[in-house]
Amino acid sequence: MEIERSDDGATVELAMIGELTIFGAAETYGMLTRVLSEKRDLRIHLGRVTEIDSSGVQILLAAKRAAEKQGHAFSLVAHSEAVLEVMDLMQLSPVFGDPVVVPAQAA
Amino acid sequence: MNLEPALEAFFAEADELLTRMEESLLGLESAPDDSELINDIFRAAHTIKGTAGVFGFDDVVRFTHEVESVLDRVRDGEIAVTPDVIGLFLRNKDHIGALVRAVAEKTDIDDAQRADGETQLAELRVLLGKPAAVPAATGLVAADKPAVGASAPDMESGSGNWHLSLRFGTDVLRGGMDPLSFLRYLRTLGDIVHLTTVIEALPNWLKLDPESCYLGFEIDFRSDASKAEIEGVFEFVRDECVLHIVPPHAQVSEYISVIRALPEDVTMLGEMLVASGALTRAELERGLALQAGAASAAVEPTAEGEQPAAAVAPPPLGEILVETGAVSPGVVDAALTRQKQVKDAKAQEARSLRIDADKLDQLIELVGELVVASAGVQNVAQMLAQSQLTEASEVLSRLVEEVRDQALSLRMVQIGATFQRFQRVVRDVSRDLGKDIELQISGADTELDKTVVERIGDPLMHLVRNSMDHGIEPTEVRIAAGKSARAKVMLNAYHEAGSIVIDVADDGGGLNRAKILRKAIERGLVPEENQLSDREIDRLIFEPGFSTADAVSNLSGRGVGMDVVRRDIEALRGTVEIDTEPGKGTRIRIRLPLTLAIIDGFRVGIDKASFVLPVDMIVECVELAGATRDAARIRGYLDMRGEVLPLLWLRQVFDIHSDAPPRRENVVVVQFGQTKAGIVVDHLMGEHQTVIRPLGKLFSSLRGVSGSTILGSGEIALILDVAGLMKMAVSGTTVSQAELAGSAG
Amino acid sequence: MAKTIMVVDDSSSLRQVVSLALKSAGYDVFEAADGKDALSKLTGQKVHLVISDVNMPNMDGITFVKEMRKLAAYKFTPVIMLTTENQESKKAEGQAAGAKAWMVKPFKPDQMLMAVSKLCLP
Repeated sequence: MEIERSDDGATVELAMIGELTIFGAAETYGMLTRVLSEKRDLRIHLGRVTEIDSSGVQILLAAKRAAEKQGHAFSLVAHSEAVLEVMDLMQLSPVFGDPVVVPAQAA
Repeated sequence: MNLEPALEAFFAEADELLTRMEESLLGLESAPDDSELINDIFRAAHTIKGTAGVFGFDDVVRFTHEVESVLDRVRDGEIAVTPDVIGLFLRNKDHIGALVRAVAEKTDIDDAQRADGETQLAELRVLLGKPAAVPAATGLVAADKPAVGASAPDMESGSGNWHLSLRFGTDVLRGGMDPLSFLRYLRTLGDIVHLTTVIEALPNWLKLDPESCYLGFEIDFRSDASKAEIEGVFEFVRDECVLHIVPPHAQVSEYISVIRALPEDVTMLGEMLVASGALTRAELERGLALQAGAASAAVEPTAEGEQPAAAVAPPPLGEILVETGAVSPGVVDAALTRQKQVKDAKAQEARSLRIDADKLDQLIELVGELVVASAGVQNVAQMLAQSQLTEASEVLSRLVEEVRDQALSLRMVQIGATFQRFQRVVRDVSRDLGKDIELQISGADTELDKTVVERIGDPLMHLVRNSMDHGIEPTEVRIAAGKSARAKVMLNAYHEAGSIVIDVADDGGGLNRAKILRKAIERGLVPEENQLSDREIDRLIFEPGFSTADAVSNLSGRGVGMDVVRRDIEALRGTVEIDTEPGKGTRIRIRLPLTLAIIDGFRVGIDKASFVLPVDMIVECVELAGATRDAARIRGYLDMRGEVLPLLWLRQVFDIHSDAPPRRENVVVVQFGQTKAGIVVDHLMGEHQTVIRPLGKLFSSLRGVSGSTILGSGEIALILDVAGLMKMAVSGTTVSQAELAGSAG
Repeated sequence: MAKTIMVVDDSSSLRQVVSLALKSAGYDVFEAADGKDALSKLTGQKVHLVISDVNMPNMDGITFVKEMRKLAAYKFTPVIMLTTENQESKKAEGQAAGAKAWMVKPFKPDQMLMAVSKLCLP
């Protein structure tokens, strides 16, 4: 699990790289806690997530709630195939409400 | 990776399994109800499918799967075993063999074989009630599917689907269990029509433990799987999650109809629900635990210190199960109704009571004492010759007799269960012998003393096996003799003149008298020149050491002869008769006393002590006096009309000394089996109904005594064990001689 | 990408059967003969599932799971423990050590695959 941070002034973008699973849950939580404390709009880039499990989904859901409670935007972008599979399984797209680009072969 | 060695093993194993499958199928032809055979066949198909699956031999798996499905139905009794079905299975077996061979030789089966396989599959599907032509229809079904899913999702989430409500425990992730993996697996059992991820339990960010699980799911699930299978998906997290499985409506009515048809021996509510499939075993266990918890909670005060409701009964299981959502109220109602029906039926059928056998024995012992006491009263009444007392004592003694008869009848049990055991024996043994034999049972409701029932099993077993082994002719012989190929062995029981009669009969070849006589002469059992009647010849088979089997089979030739059967039956104070007609069959008739607790005794005396001998073992009584007496004393035996009769002085056996030796003695000639002996006593005191009381453990090793009885006078008399005494008489002759010689010199 | 499963059992024939079944279903499998051997083979690579016997020489299954849980890369790896009969006390001990899933030996390859599929499909 690696997280790349970039900042375009208005929004903080975190790119999750590798596994977003229980193995890195504590680390991810720590990183997100720091970012949330900055009280900025958040964008999570999921294009390089190779695997995501329940803990990963939970963290994203909780982070979204926390950010929106602060009055900041929270969006997920560039869902990788692994993320899409789980979103589909848990039928979470309406919950996150992010536009999802479905790759042609997965339809 | 080199699969070759494992493959070799698979081919060898498949070969062996198919051979066994064929053997069992052939066996099934003659025994279509043999569940073991059906199981064997099922296991063979199942193992082949399982292993082939491991190796990825999909053709074998696909074909064997259908065979296995049909076998499964056969095993459940839903499909009858007909010659046609067996024929189909035999062809299936050949086809599986062809498929396995093709894999082994890395070739394909030829077109004819392939066509044959498809035909067989179609036939199997017809048995399963599926449309026969599945492959052709695949295109249609595939085209249909999305349309249904897209156009009517609401209808689908209605009554046709299962509903699963799931809440995972907080620790599942830490244990390596990902709820998503179970959802993925669930999809292999059916379609997730609709799913809502429940995140209400997710705490605020700062309270979030990223390694805890807060998720839940509400799932509409379309599947043919059973409730237990669906629950099984979550087996590894079952203890840590809350799971409710609500069956589709159609399924509910299915459960209800299954419950209505449940066999009557399933009477517990939980078991009924599990049997119907409405409740899984795990749900039942949780429900029972809740019930037990509620029961103990009702006793202890609650944490808040509130007073518990006084002695509240735990809530009924049905209520708990409905409340926890494990089953729907309708199903519970159906089960309760069925339960009541069964209970009512049972209550009407048999108003019987189970009683500890020991209690019964105590009662009978007391009744025995009552008989004795009443005899005592009668003695006194006679002595006093007071008419009112005599009359009263007579009434008393008549009532006591009735009480005695009633009490003894309590020990009576039906012989049916004992007879029924032989069904299996006859089936197994006849298969071993290659004979077609059926067992006919009649009089299964005949009652006899519990002890007799327990001890008659072995002799009956021997007689039945003997009939099958020696009595019933080989099938060819039967057919040649114009008899039906299927032979009969009959067990029949009935009451006759105060005794129980058990017949073991067969319609076999009857006894071969010439052969029996020849054997008996060979063995020196009868002198060659003796002219024996047919009946006498027949009885020879009961002689010790007699066996007519030319080749001792492993069934009857267990080193136990018919003499042992006779001895066992005589030990129960019974008799054996034989009645045989060459070419027509043989009947062995066992006659047993109604009860063992009371016998007709013959009282004898030594000095002032009384002893009782069973009347039916006594042949005659002879006076022993004068010169004969002196000679007998020296020799230890008596010359009885040219026969040597070993003698036993009861006085010596029990070491009774008296100052004045008796002037006269009597010999009671007893017979046990073929052996006779004389028991020397002082007085003969006549017949006397005797209530047998067992001796205590302390005296269990005492030889020559089998029990005691109390006489009308209140005296105790020992009941003599004739068989034991006889052994002493026959073997101990020299000892008593030596002792006598010593005392004389 | 195929999922990787480690099979730990001192019986080589059982390892072989389990491995064959798993490989035929599409998993990558590697084997270890006991707990010690298994620990030495866990070098940080991704393992999706561990199947381990309980009774083994050198290091038993429960000790192995306890040790494995100390390694960051395997702290949450699912484990199926294989047990001969209902060793309830062992089961409680094993679950405390982090082995939640239990399977009773003997089992058919199908059953094994089913249990494995519940935790990770190939």
